[in-house]
Amino acid sequence: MGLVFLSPILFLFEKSKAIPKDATSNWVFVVDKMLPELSANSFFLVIGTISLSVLISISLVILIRPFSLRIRKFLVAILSLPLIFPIYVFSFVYLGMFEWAAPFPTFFREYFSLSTPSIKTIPGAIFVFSIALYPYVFIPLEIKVNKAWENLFIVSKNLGASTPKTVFLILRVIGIKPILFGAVVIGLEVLSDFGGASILGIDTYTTAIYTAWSSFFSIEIATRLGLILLVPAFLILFFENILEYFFKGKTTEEEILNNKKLIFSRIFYLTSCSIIFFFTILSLILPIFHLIKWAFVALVNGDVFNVLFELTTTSLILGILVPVFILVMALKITIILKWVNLRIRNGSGNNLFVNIFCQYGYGIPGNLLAVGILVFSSYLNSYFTSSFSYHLALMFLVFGLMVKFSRIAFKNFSLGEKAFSINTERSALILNGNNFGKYIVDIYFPGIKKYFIGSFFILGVEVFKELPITLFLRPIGVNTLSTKVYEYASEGEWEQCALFTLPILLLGCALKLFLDRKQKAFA
Amino acid sequence: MLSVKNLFVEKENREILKDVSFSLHPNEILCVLGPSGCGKTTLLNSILGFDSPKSGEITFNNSLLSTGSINHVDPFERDFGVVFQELNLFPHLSVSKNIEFGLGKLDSSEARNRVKELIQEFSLENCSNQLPESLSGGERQRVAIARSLAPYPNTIFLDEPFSSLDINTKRNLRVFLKKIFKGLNSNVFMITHDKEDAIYLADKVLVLKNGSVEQFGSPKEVLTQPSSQFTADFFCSGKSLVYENKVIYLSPQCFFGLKLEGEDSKLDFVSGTFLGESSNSSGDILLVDLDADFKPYRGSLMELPVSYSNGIDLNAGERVKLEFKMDQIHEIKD
Repeated sequence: MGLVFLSPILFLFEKSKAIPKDATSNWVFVVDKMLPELSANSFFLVIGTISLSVLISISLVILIRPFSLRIRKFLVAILSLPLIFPIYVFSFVYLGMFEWAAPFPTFFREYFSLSTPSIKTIPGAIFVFSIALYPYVFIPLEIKVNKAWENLFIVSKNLGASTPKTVFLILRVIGIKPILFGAVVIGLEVLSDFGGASILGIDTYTTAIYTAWSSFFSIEIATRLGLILLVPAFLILFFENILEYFFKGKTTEEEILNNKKLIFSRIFYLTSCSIIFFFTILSLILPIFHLIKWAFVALVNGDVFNVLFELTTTSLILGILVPVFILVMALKITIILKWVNLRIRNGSGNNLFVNIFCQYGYGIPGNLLAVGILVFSSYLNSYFTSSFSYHLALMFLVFGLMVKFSRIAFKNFSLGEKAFSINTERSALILNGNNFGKYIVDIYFPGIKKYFIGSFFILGVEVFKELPITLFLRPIGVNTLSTKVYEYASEGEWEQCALFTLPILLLGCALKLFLDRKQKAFA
Repeated sequence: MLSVKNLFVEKENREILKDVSFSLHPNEILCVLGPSGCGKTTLLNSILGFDSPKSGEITFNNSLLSTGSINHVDPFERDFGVVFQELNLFPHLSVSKNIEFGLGKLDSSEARNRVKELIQEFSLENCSNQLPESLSGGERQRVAIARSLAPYPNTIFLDEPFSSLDINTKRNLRVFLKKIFKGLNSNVFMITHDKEDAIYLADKVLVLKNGSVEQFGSPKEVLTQPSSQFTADFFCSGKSLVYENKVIYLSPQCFFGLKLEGEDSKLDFVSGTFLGESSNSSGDILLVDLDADFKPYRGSLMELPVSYSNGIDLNAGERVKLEFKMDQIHEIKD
């Protein structure tokens, strides 16, 4: 199973060995003309997005401190909402909002003779990506800071530290872990992104892979570009492992209940209100307003309801089918490993195998996986009839999505398993006379049930909004909501884009509500 | 009879257990004592079959359970009952369902009756439908023990069963368990670091030090005749002294008494100088600097609990006599 999961990467290596003669000149062109620009763009995009996201997150965490716990909870819920927007949605919304003929630029141009900055630049892309991704730092940072801020603030001030020094110390002590781990996730997300960069017209490795495949028709060049992209992706994953090792057993996890209320000056309070309000308008209210307005226009102007219904159904089927496959596979592998661990390795084993082989896909850009699977499918396709090829393509799409997202299931299962120590499992088997099946049915499964259901919803939404793998691997003639959004965005049809985005966002909202209700379990 | 012969266990090139041997006769309660890291839990896991010994033999009623690292009987099929230190109650099952879990081999009415019987015996009637998280520490402990006893195990193993309980709950549970264990038809193997548990509950005591057996015998035997300085210090309440180049042990039964030098003494005694009072976690103590030929084994001062002072008003520097019964002195062959 591990080898099957690794096969996309293995095929990439195999295919990249040699380039056919007719594609050699293209590869030379790519190396001479494109690689430096691609590397610079990807580098600045990653570094810029991480920096701006961290800056936004730290600022927001400090700015919401004057509010009462209740208002703070509400603000955190609101400020976390951008997480449900795929990057490509934010990209086309901002592109539409700031294009030359749009109301804002027109207003500024006519009344103030000011031209609004272009979104289709690296700084513009950094801004859009940061708006979409900052919650990856903000949410964990706020959770950590919320537990200790007041007490640490009072202690630090009593010891004579100035306010800026106090804030810096608190963030350094309790904020460094969520900031670094959040930055890793953001780095991986930016590297993996295809839709956002493509819509904003920024050339990155992921867009170049697509171009190589769709314009040069060279899977070899796409493969080589993919393998170059693999290097920073693995470096970031390696950095994440180093962080996990470094923070293992560190005392930043301590929980300190807030029982003191800090007094803030009226000026700070008003400044906080104004900045948070302005930021919320920019990052949430305006995009949502535009989406609803455009969607309404699209609905009124065209007969798209049937297509919308059809694509929503297709996306839903994928969003149900893939999670079911992933969960069944992950459950089977987990149970087999559990049996091996208990019966053969006497409880001393670890799940390194699962961590490496079955979870690596999450850290790898989607279109890189897609190229690997395309290479594999090209070997097989010649042997099958066209009608079977369709089903084969569908299978490959499902397989690609499984490789990409199976980590979510494994991670959730391992969270649920924290309730079971090895001695709990031993107790169960000693009590029931070594009946492993009874242990799984009566103890293990009820214990991880809520994580199982949670995984199903998270996976469903992830599959629902996934773009690059679906775009690369969908059988000919089959569209999903995300591919349709990308298609319309490429043509600048914002109204259609917005309409087809709404089901994705509605499902994201439903997931957020579900997870907020189960927050204790999934925190 | 559970029998362990010449057990050696090694982990990461370090010897955890060295030549451990003992037997546990039917219906006996064995308490394994020793400081942290002495190998108590490794001994438990080796007998259960979860740790692989380097060599040695474990048998039950003359049938071989394991030889060295080879398990002849599967760890989960040894008909043992186990209560691990963290209790490991199944969090989503009620008290009665937890107890019922191990009764799959009985038919449903038999299982129901057994659960009812144990719930009554362990006074769990008021919480039988509750989940473990809503129980008190003592109740959780009782549920875990009841659950392990439910399938009629031949031996029940308990790893530090009182470690997370407050002193009153611990004492009540100890009294309760003594009654339960005496009515059992099983052996009991209990790990503890508290000598009071062993003195109160055990028929046999096994003292472990750095993976080796320091002493194995009845609690009375170990209390009055510790085989080593370690056992005397760890398990016994008396004092060890050096007298004529021998280490001797004065058990509480030797009766320590303190008198002024001029007072008559009917017992044997040794003279010394009273230095003053001190206090530690167990209460006030009197410090006596004994004369050179009769010195405490460790340090230079004899420390006496105040209760032995018989109300004498002492001043620092005063000469005193420390009384004991010479015929009850036990020599430690360390």
